[in-house]
Amino acid sequence: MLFNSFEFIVFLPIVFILYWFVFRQRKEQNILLLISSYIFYGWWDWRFLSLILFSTFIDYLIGLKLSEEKNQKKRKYLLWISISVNLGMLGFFKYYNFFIESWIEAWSSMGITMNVSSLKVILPVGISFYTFQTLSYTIDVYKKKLNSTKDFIAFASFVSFFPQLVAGPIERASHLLPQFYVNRRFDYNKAVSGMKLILWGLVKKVVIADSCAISANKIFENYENESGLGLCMGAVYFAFQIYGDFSGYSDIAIGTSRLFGFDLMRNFNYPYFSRDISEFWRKWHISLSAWFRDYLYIPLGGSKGSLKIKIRNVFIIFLVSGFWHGANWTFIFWGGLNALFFLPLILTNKNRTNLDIVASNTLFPSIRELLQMVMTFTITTFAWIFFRSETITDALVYIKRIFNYSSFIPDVIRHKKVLPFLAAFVIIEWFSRSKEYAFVLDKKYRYVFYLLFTFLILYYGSVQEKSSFIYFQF
Amino acid sequence: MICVFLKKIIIFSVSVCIISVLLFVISKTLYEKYRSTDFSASVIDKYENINSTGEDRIILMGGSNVSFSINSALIEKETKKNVINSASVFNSGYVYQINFLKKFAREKDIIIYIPEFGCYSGKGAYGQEFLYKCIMFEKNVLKVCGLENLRRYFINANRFHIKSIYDILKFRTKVDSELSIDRFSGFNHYGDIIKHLSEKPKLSKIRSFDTVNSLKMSNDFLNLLLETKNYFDLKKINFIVMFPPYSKNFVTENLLNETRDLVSEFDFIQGDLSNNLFEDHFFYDSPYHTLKKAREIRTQNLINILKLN
Repeated sequence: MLFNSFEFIVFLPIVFILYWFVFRQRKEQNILLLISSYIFYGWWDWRFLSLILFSTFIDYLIGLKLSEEKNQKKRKYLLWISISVNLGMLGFFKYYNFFIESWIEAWSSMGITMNVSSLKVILPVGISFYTFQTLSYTIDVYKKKLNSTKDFIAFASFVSFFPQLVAGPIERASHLLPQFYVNRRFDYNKAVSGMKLILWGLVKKVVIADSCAISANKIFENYENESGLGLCMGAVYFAFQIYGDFSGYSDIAIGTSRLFGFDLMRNFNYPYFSRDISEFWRKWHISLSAWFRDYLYIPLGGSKGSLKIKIRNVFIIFLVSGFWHGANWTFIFWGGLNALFFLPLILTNKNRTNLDIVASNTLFPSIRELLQMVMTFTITTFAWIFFRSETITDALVYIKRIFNYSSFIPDVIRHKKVLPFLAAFVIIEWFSRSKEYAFVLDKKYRYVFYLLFTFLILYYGSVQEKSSFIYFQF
Repeated sequence: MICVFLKKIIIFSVSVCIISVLLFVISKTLYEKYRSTDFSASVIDKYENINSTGEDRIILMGGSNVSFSINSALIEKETKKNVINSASVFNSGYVYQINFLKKFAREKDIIIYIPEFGCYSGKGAYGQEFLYKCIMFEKNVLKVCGLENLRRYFINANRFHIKSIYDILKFRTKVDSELSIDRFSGFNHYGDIIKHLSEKPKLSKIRSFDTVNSLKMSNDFLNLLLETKNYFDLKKINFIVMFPPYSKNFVTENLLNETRDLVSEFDFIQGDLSNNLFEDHFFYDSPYHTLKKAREIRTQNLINILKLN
């Protein structure tokens, strides 16, 4: 089920009413959330519920065993079972064909034909998200940062919690799971802020991302016929498409959770106002960055150790992050590129320079800050070209054509439908950059704005009926 | 507190509904004023045609290719039968087209159904423009539109009404705009569009279309064709399906083979697509809206098939 679908508009109020008016006991509410989450997921393909159930059972049982087991060797053994099962599942469904095809290509480049057939494996929606979430539970229990749970319903609800099941934020067990143990009371302010987040998330997705998607898709699919400026605009459109799409999804997920009395972690913090790539990665897909930092980067040694180890760790984390996004060399290249951008900062110990909010005491940024933001946006957008392209060759040709100055023809008319929205969006975000979400309005006129945003969603929502979210494929 | 919260949500939802109804009323009021010259008038004309024309009829139905690319007068002259071109522009979708035929065809009628290649896949929904222009203003369309179209209408209602208001206000000052070809004055009494025949080809527009590589035939469409064939057989109506004319630069060998396979498998699907393929400059504004010369050749090919039947 998609957040921007008619089905969800019916589904959400039904679950909300049942949750607060019919099933008022904590255990009943957890059961309701579990059933609702399975319906939400099964709406896409009920067969893949078995994978969630399998992953849930494995990590629940391993969690229990880990808390009973005192022998460190056996505990480690249990941890590796969980890691193998979860990553094995992820590897098979997401990466099997990639490895097989890469293997065949590698041999064929040496003139040897391999007759290994690839399988038509369907990628289960959200598998990268919920496997990481269950893994975080087992690792935290192993590290004794979290007590294992005996409440299977609470654990299963935590794994499959529908607002964030298919595209995050990837929650830590230590943050979300305890919320299933306590009684929830309806909190008016929390619910109102949740509704605002849902509305703003839909504006980001339906108005900004989907409008940008139309232009970005046209340009990326016909890049050979585009001018240099057209290709630059294509990359910019994609940068806003992916931001609007994914941060919009996260806002709706966080907002929906608040309606049920839950708090999810923030996933985006105005990343395009970052002054360097390190700040960008602290503000973009925060839940994934934090996951990799805590479970991969720090265990590898982080930024401590020799120069060689520092460089190795930066590359590992970015390459793995790229690979997490999809089974294609373009994602790996995108990760590698970000590692290259990040490396100078880590080597000069400037990776934690910009920790404050940009221009926090002034209305506008200084020239220096503006240049830094433009520079950071440019390099991230440059990397997005690899992320969006079908193959690395496509991306390289795309970039080569950008620098074909003879075809750098201004083509403003074609962009007149999208650019005003983008400009308005950037302005709204800029003036909200110190707030949790860009939707804090003056009390006097807020109702008018809510209506305006609703009609914008209704208007643009019908252009591409049921357009999916980009991160569903990851 | 939860009741206060729900109350606010309900008030907000009711406000959205009231504004939506207001948009509909404004759109409908404005539309009624310009109804007689707008293209949907041609839809009314088609309903009148099919109701009033007597016995011994040939009914032409399909997508806009049928409106743009057929000379009904020539068919009438050669076959000595009454010809009615019931096709509409703006992608009316196969559900509407088939429902229309089932509702109005009579015993001994000959139906030539020529859906565009886009119709072979999907669920037969209307094109968005046809939907928002017609559905709420032509009761006849509403009767045969099908559930899928109704669902789409309600999802798109606000967009349709806002766009409709904008279009009406814009066209009021641009009566002779490019779109006027689709209005009432663009059609002859058979229901063919004739206003484009002397125009020059719009090559850049034609070349902006995608190449058709495959029919991608959906089960929905195939089942509907078979069921429609049986339905018309029982009513002693001759139902023939043909392929639209197309620019030869936009079809592939694979598509040609698929159409040949269909012709050999189903006796009611007739004609050779390769006979109706032309160069780009034989078309007006899309690879299946022919100009005069291709229209004559295509019509003659159609007549030849009819004579064989």
